[in-house]
Amino acid sequence: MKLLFVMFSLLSFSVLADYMVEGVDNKPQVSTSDKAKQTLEKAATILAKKTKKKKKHVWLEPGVISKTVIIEGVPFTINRDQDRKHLIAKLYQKTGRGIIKPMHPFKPHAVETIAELEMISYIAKLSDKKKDVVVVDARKPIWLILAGSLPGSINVPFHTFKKDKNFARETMEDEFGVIVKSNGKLDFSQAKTLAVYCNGNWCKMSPELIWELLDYGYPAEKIKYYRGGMQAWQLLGLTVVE
Amino acid sequence: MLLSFASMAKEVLIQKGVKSIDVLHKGVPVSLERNQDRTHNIMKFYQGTWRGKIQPLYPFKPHPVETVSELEVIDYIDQISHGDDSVLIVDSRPQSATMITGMIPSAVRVESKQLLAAESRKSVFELFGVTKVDNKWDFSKAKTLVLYCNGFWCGKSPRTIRRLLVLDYPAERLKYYRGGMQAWRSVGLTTVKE
Repeated sequence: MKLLFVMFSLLSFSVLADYMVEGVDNKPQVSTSDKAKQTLEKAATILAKKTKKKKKHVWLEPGVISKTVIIEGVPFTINRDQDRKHLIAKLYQKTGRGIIKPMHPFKPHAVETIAELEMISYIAKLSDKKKDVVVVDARKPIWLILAGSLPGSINVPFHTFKKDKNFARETMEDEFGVIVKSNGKLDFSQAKTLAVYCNGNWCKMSPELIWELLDYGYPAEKIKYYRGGMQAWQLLGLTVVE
Repeated sequence: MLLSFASMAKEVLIQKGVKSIDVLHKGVPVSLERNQDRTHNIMKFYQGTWRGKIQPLYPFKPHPVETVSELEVIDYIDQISHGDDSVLIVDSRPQSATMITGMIPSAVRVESKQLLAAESRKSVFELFGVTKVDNKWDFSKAKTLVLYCNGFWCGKSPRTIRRLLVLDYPAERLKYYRGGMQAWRSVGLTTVKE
């Protein structure tokens, strides 16, 4: 408040000075407005410094507060909740769900396990011209309503994918870049990289989807498993889409 | 009523068919399991979302330090409890933190600063199975260390690992439990006092 007042008074002073200078002698106007600009800039930097001191940022990485990604042509900012009192959603406070998944559940298949920073870089790749990445939410749709989803993700419910062969083939053809040949065989040569997630390190939904994909012959090196899932994402206060 | 009884009786498992394993912490038997109360929530401290900076999955590239999860840590604890002294679980946090949030069973506490001064480094290295031969550290019998701290956003165990790498500790004998105490507690696993 006080600072705003200081800025305002500086501004009014410079305007006043401008007027006075103009009235008294014929100094060129450019230099005076430059002066005003300088004082304003000074005030702004002081203000910025003060507010910076007051507010301690919540960081993504050292020196990085947020990353802007472009999803379907629209810029979208991913950052952590800056509120230092923010708690994880009640839903993900529970400790008694599922069974714990190992770090690399698909061994010896070369499915890579990834974490938040790697996931963010895959989300950033969604705006590439090549469009060779898909972020896949493997959860049942009810979870998306309850807990939101990752920016740019598409929902491919694991149970539907497993039960309904037509749905599975259509999804792979429409979304994953798999070519369905006239004889019904699948051609994975153009298959996109999938970054798959579900609820977290205890959740079986994304592992089940990945196993099913591997059964179809999807190349393991084109599947990434974000084991921390929505729970780890929210434990870090990262941006969620409703 | 019947339904709620059934859901209450449903056991919270570590893995398929594994409810608990018996391990040792400082020679005292501890049953390592998940909290069986399905309404149990993670402790308040770890509900906070703002702390630290997010660690990548492999912060030590190109050093081949493996990142491990709860199940691999539990396997290591099992090995230790069966008398394997070539493995050590290391908590890199100060005592003020472990007092509040507890420790993983069988863990010992070593902070990165203990590696700085020559005297404390010597005793830490002794604990790690590293000896001095001809004025040089001999890592041939160095233990496999499983290091953890508070979680995905905590820099304490990464710092300890980096210092160990600078001191030429073999990278393949360093394991990074990135999930740390937060992930450990988020699945309700047993903790102990130091």
